[in-house]
Amino acid sequence: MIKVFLAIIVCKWLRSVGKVFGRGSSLPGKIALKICPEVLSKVKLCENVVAITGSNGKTSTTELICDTLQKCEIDVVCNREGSNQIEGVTTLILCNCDLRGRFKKQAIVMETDERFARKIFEFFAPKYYIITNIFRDQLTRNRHPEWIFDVVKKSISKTTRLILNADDPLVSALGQGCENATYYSVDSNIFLGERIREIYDDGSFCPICKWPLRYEGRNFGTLGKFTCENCGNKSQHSSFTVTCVDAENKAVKISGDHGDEHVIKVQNLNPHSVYNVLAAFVACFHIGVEGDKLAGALSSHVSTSGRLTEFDFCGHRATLLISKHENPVSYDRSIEYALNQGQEVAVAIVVNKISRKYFTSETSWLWDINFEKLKAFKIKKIFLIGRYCYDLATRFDCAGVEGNKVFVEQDLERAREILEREAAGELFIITCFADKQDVMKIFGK
Amino acid sequence: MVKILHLFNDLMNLYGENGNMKMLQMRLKMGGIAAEIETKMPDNLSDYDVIYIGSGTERSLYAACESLKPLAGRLAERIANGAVILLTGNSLEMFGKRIVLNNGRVLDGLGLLELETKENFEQPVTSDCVFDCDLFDEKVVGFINKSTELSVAEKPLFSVDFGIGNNRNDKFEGVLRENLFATHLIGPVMAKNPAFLETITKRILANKGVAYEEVFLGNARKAHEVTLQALLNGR
Repeated sequence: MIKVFLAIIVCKWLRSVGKVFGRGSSLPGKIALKICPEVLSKVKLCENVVAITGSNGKTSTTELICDTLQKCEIDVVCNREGSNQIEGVTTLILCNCDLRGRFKKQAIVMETDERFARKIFEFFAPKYYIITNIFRDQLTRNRHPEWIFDVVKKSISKTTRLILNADDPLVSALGQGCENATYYSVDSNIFLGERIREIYDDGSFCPICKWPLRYEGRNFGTLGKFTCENCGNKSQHSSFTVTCVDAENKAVKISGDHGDEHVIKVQNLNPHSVYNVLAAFVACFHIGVEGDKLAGALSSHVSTSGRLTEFDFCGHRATLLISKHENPVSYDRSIEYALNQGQEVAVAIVVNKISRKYFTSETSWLWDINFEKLKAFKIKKIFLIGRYCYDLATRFDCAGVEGNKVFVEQDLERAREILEREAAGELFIITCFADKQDVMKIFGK
Repeated sequence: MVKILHLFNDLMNLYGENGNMKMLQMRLKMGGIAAEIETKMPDNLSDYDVIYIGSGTERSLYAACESLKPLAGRLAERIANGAVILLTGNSLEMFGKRIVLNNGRVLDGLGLLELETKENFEQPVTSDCVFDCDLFDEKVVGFINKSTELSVAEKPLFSVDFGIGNNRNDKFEGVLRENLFATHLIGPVMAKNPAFLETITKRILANKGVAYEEVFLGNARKAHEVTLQALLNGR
């Protein structure tokens, strides 16, 4: 007990000192775990422990759930800064415990890294576990989606209620044989526009048995209503379904299993955001927030995660679209976003540091992104920027984009000069968190 | 006209592997040579100048291996006849004698190469790599992403300067037999290494009896230099 007490007090102290110096939230938890490795199993958590994992949408979904619960007067905390490994989660938990190890909030919402969730849940089982999707993401560390499927599977406890995306062939399969699972789904073909086949298709074959998968329709990536006629893997019956998208009023309709319907306003009406809102709805519903109140709170959500930053660049309307390097789906979504704006568009892609956490020169993921879409007539100029600009340029050579609209520059300062001279129409800068700071320092000034 | 057979272009297309064929097609086109890529599983392999298979997940590899078994004899003929065969990522594993799976079961390979694979899921290997190749002067760059150890009794394609070879103790990587080039490197390796792409192009053209002329891939060369410097400087 002394060790638990010591771990908590040191964690709290380091966190408050760290905040003054603007340090991250991993270190206090790391030290606390050194003092008492099993501290997470010693503290007494609240009833509503919500965990979120998956390749894309973790941070946004965590933020949505946390804000919604707060608006519904539930005292809740989450790891908003995205410290989603065991150290960050330890900091979050211990800093909200009293010195006897009793968690002081009514609910905790934690984003957990796909690979490390298993380590965290050795110590406690979350009451609700949301799994958003499993896509190609950071394959230098994650190997591949099926590898992550096997890893995530090991993080699931029998006592946990799973909240699963029925439209993802890997996530839906995680619930097979599990009675404690609720599924959510977005009806296919409710979004405007044609679905284009991307560069690779992880939905071609059943990820479990490799038989060709059959889709009734798809929203994006592997997400849609699917069936494997060989092994029986299929979109499980969903209890909460987005059945209608109202583009004019920027709203979606969520239909429940029992005939109940809720209309939710959505800030960005793109398919991936709609999935996040739906997952948040299901989680809050399970926690016990009443339907209408929940719809109201979710509707008033304003994102603060800064995935989309608008600014003025030399008289051009500019938008920084934060994607993730090593995550082709996020790039494809950003490209799609840029293509749906304005009449004349310029796109800048910045790959300077592949990761802020580790060094690698692995750029195979550039070949999984559908840059071919930028051949569109409205895309007037393309700027390939940063250390790996020539890898990008090689990719563009093969994409068949007209050479005279492509500018390649390794140095960010010089790239700014080129952009000042050449930018046309609305400008979209697509890059990663890893490069955001450097990009804004130079392009946002 | 160069005829390319790209097998399992959907199933074995992890890590942007289709980029290898995009690069080859572009390179041939720049040299004034048309290239056609077919992706359907054929009955006969003798029509093709190049056969390529990329990397996939473990489950994809097992499925690909099973569906390729009826063609094993024809593949052996093509290898012996000096057709250009390119294998990247884990696809070379199924060309070996067997794969000992992580659960202890054994999956028979195609038996075309003198190599054996042992899965080890507890210790996956991911590493940036710098290799040397006897066929050209430039160093080879790329990435290895696997959960296997290979024992190879074939002439290697590369020797390890930095990174990991066929297994943790092997200073060599891949297989070079006749015109069969096999490596676990991804990148895609033919996009990341223009000198390697030139070597392969040379072999394809020699088989066709077409004179080789060097083509300068400016962006790919600069990209190679940037990656090589980054890896040699360790950042």
